[in-house]
Amino acid sequence: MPLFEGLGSGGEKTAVVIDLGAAYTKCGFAGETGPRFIIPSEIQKPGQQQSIKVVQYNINTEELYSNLKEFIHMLYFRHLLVNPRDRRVVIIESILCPSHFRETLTKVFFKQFEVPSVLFAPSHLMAIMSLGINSGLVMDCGYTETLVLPVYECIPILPAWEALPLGGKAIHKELDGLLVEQCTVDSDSSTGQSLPTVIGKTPTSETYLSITPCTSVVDCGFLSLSQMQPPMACPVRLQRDSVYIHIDPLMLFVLSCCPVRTCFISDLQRGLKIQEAKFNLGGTAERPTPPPDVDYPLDGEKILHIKGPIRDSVMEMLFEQDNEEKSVASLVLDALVKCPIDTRKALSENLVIIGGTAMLPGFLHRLLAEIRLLVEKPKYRDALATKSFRLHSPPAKPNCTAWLGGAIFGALQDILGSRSVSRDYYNQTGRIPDWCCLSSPPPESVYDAGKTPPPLMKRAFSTEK
Amino acid sequence: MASLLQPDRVLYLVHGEKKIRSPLSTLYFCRYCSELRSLECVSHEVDSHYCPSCLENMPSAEAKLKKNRCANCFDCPCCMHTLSTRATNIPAPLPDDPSKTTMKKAYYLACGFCRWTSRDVGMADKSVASGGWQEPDNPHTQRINKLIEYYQQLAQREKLERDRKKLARRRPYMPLAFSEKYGLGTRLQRQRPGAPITSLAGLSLKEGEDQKEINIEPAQALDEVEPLPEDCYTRPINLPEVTSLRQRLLQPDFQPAGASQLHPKHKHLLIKRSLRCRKCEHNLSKPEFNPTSIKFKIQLVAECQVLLTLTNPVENITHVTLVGCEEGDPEDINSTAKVMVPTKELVLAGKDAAADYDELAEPQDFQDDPDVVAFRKSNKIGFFIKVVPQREEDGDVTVSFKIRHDFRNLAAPIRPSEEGDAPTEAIWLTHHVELSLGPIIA
Repeated sequence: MPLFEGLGSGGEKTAVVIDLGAAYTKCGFAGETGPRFIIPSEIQKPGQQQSIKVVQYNINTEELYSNLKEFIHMLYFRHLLVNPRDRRVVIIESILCPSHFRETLTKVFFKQFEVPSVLFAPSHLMAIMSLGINSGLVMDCGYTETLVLPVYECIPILPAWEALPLGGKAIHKELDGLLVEQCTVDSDSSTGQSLPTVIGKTPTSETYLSITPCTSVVDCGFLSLSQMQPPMACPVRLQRDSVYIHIDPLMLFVLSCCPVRTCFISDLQRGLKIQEAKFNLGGTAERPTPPPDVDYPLDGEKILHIKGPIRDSVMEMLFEQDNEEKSVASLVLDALVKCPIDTRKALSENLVIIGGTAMLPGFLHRLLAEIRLLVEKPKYRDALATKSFRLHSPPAKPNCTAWLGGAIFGALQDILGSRSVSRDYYNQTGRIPDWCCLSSPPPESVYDAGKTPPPLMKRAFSTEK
Repeated sequence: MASLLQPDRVLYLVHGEKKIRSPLSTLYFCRYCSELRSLECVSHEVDSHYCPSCLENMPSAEAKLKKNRCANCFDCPCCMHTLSTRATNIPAPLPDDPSKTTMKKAYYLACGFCRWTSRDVGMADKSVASGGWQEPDNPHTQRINKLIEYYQQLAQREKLERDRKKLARRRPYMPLAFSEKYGLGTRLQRQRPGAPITSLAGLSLKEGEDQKEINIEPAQALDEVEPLPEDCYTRPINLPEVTSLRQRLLQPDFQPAGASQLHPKHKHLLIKRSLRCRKCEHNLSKPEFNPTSIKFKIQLVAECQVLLTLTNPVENITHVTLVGCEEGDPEDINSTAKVMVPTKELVLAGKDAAADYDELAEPQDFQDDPDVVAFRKSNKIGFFIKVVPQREEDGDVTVSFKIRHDFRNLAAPIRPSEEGDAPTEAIWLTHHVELSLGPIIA
């Protein structure tokens, strides 16, 4: 990083860049090569053992406000160690973030912390910026969902968005179910116990039956767009009964590391064989030899025996095609089909994969292979002429790529101010502009209240004074 | 009496943006606005940085340069404990005579908690105790800096055009400049704050316009991605060798999967916070500069200024009146019992630190109504109130009333008053108090 940046140049202080994800938050300063901290998006209330997730879309405003306030307070005074009043803020957001959440977040920043300005940057666009290219098909594999958005000449093609609720959250749920069913725990006193008896509190079983389309829409935070896109039918895999156990929160944290350390994604041939064996199509499908079991220690006394087959099959849910033949790979092709024809080649040769779930071992290789397999299917073969797919490798880990784009943008001090929403503008209008809301007044009319019509109209008739 | 200091039993109402009720021990008193302030209605600021393990204060410029990390202390990458430097003697050949060996001191880092050492990740022992350990660099730094330079050039361009447009607007009578700017005007109009960020792409670098053009290569996409190694399917995992998520995320630039690549990081600093009243911008709490000191330079805690129930913290004689809340008082939402407070004014003697030790002091001569005042001792007073619970319920009985007392602002006046020593004016403050008395014992 340039050593004397901001110190003697007389410019303003470097902006703060925050990427508030559903599972983890990346925070740091503009102009740096990586976030300073990646912390879980949770707050701990005194007296309560369970931590509270900050990014929740269904709670009421009061609670969301106080959760966000506490979280951002901790962000500034424990991790970033700067005064909020001095620095502009760049927030990396998903374009599907509900307006209510966005507005509450803005209110926390402006009213509570009195920051000078706030800029909401779409994560997919920022990923493109970190590469120095102008177009690309960006896929964000996050915690709650996987979202695909093509960007052409730095403009997001909004109608071509595609998403599925397949992300870290779905993997955790699946893994928990499998662990509860199949694995045993050895503790000091006994061996071969089942997981709930050792670490659960009171086992209650709530069976997840077929999730109605409304529920899945709400769950993914698509509330504002549910009128635009018909809600998706639920995938086959979630119709299976699975038992939900209340697990001790410390254990929950340990278990959340478990897929990262022990599981992986097989390559295409092996994966297809595993899927066949699972659904038993054809009757005599043989499952390929599973990898060896793992003894996973929980908290020092207990050891969880993870069966080998779980290790390579739990991630298959990302690529199993459901009733509508949607999987993480088909999202890319569906988005391409929706894009204008002349953009497709540029987009397919510039795939960018970001997000924490994309860091799973074997993910990228499998994804490319699946895309190449799917494009030969009749559904896509005639629709898509382009058959070449290329993947970018950004100069940062996939979970920090969007943050890096935001940091690069935040370092452009010449234009950051004019593109952000300033505190004055917010105090005057009381709201923050949103892409889905066309009634936000342009800043010029806010300041020159007496001047109507706006300047553009004036110029259109050059004979007018 | 200590029970009244316990949180949540006695709550004071703070009039801020939101009405907050909290115990006096967590409140501050701004003596310039003469109002109570809670943590939510003050603005927090970073005061000073210090390292939690070596307790060394760091000036903020240095902290910014070092990215808020201590220069001397390290964190264990496995268990986040503080690392200690250990020394060993290793034989090393003398520079002038290679055949003789002498013992030289070599230093390495070790964790006392999880037994990790810097030798585990292959870091060589250093010959100096501190200052020799470097954190590895991010390999992508150069590329990212180049990208930033390139975009800064585009941003400069945009700024110039925006400024030109502003100038052009002031001269609407020049048709030539007008029509030239017309095209730009429509495009730049759309770049309002908050609209989806359109790119800087429209402002591509024009040929030969700038002397120094910075061009970057756009990133190249790859056809093939490396597959998983074959033995991944058959090899048993050595779990201690695989990093956990928390260990990985502590190093955001690298996020290594193998424990042999976990390098120690410098210890993160902590800060001391100062609080400032939002209305009058005066400091309410300012800590000492020295990290080892827990005192404050300025500390306007409410307990020192506001009347603690029944105890007079200031040195003047204070007159207190208690007034019950009327019907329909908008602040009175929590009380479940009616309270009859003494109607007379109570007088509290001033705080006198020497009075405890002075046995020959004259007893203060206040005529106390024995029905009202139970006892009196130096600056404390106990008085009776009658409580009539309104509801039969299992919860606590809560009463609320208002305390009205006089307060002398001891802040030094900015301008000495011209009439000589005019006594400081007393102002009357009213606080809404809620007292939780506990459950009803049948």
